[in-house]
Amino acid sequence: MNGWMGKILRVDLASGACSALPMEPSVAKDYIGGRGLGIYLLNQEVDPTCDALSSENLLIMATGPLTGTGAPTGARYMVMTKSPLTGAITCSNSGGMFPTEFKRTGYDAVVFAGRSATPVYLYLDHEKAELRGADHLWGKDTHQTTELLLAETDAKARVACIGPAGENRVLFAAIMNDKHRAAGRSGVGAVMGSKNLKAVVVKGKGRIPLADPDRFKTFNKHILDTFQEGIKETPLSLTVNGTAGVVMVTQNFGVLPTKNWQQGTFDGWEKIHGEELTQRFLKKNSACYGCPIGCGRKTRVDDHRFAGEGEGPEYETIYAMGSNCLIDDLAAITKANYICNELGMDTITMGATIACAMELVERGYLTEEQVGRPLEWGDAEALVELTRLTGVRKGFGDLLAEGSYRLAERCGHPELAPVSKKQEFPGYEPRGAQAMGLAYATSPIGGSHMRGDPAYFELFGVPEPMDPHQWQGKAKVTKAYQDLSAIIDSAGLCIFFAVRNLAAKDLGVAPVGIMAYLNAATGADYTLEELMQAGERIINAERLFLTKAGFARKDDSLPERLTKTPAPTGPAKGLVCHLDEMLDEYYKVRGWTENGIPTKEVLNRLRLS
Amino acid sequence: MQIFVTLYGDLKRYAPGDQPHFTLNLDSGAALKDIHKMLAIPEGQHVSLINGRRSSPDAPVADGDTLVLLPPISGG
Repeated sequence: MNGWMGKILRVDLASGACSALPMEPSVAKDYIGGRGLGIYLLNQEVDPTCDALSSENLLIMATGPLTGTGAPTGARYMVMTKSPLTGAITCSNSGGMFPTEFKRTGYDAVVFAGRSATPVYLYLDHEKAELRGADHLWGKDTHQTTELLLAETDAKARVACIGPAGENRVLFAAIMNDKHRAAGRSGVGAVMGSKNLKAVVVKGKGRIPLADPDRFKTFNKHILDTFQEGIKETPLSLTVNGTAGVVMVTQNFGVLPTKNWQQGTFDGWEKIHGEELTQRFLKKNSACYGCPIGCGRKTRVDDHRFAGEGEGPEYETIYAMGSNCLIDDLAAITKANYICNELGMDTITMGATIACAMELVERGYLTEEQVGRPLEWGDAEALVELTRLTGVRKGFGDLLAEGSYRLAERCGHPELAPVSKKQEFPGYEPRGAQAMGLAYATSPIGGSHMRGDPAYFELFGVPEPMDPHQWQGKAKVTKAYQDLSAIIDSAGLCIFFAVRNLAAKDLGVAPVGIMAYLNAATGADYTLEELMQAGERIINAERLFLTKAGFARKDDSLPERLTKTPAPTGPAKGLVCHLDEMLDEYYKVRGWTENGIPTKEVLNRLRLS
Repeated sequence: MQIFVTLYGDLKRYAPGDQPHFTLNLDSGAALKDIHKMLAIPEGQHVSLINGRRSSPDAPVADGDTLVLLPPISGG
């Protein structure tokens, strides 16, 4: 095969057996790779009703056919599993250097089944797979683990691992690769910890085979030249200020989630936005393999209270730990971000859970005795201390480790948790960005913007701006973006480049550029219709898993604070999110029943019956 | 009429004085494009929000409006 390596590694953690399975060409074409391949494998083998932290669950790491090929931002891999946070599937994406190195070992994906009796790590040296003991690594943070593993394997290898949070089954534990990159969401690290799998170390060699290298090279040059021409006059904001530059946008549109999602504007926003990060803490940019953007931030904080060095924070971290907690201390936010990276946790759920706790304390539903310290809005030191306690499940951190829904439910007020399917939202307030509410509610992984991001058309104006306050007509375009995201996630690309540069403006974000790359890389001769159908197939395959797990319209929900309480401040003042109306429209566009179940007609058309 | 203007990012260089926040006095009936012209900001390279709503160059402005000009930004 070309583009694809043609092999899937299966690791039985109970017996220690490692075996190579062929990648079926028809499966590869129909599901593309990455996220698509992951849901195909999950649907083959995992009971959707199983306990996510039991040995019945699979943990899948999958690259896409464009990962490591040199296609711009072709650096991604996807972690797929059933989530312990949501009970739904999850697909958690990361970049850096690990995914490309993984693919160079000769495999498209690795499937971990069962559970090891003792801590182990997988060492994949080219095609040779070996499980090794990891007792000496257990308890170590992600940076220590990475350094120890590089010392005992190969200094040029790449490492993905969990920290204490994954070992302790924090329900939003991440899998960190290259120290600072996170497959962050939905507790993929907890699943890895439940399997007693501490790390995956990869050392590959050779190049990814391409079906038509000349065609690939010519198209690649065209795309990169066009991209460079576009940024000649004005550098890309992602390069200059990273994703943190988005604070300026969301604040001015009135959709910067603030005070546990009670409002969409934050008075202290100028102290936490991208320009401030660049001026105060940025040391240099960092880029994933083959990325011309370089949105990563290598930063250092010298402030003695919060001193540290690492990468980040991203916009989502800044919203969750900043405005959402009424914290305007960027040093504290950055420090809490470093701690999350080192202990291996999702910064969004961490920050959102602390914000939820702050509101529970303010309303008298949670006491200082339970928290173990005062916890008022804006308390930067509490943010850092509670983040540290959560990763090791000490004191109140043990309850925070369950996420905001379970915390608020324990206090008798689950309505105060800003979640969909029990997963916390990223930083765009749906009362002022209506389609974002629909995307959160219908995302297969719960509150997420990366499974179809309406911020592109509602806020950033790509390909054309749409009124963020209007809900009518948003279902169709949200579906188009969700299908496009499934293709991007499965191909191994990054949404930051692909949406702007590889989708057609005039065809409803049709993936024309991605198709050209895929065909040159794989020789699979995708037509545009076939590729778009593959995106739709992946979304429906995920929905099938959810349906079998018991999810339906009742779970495609938002908290009443967003659908019943009008926004109190900013440009969206007086608005609520019209989720129910959009859901009716959305299910029709998808061809699902009024209860959100895919119909036989749709499943037959997509060959999912 | 008075319009309250804020420029962000690279657009700050188009401010008439030292500060990116300033007030403009305009004749009634002015449109957004008149302000762009007054400040010598080229069309198409930014996002204009009148009272927090994205607005096209032909959009009218009214006394007391706030106008925010943002550079193109994406990501998150």
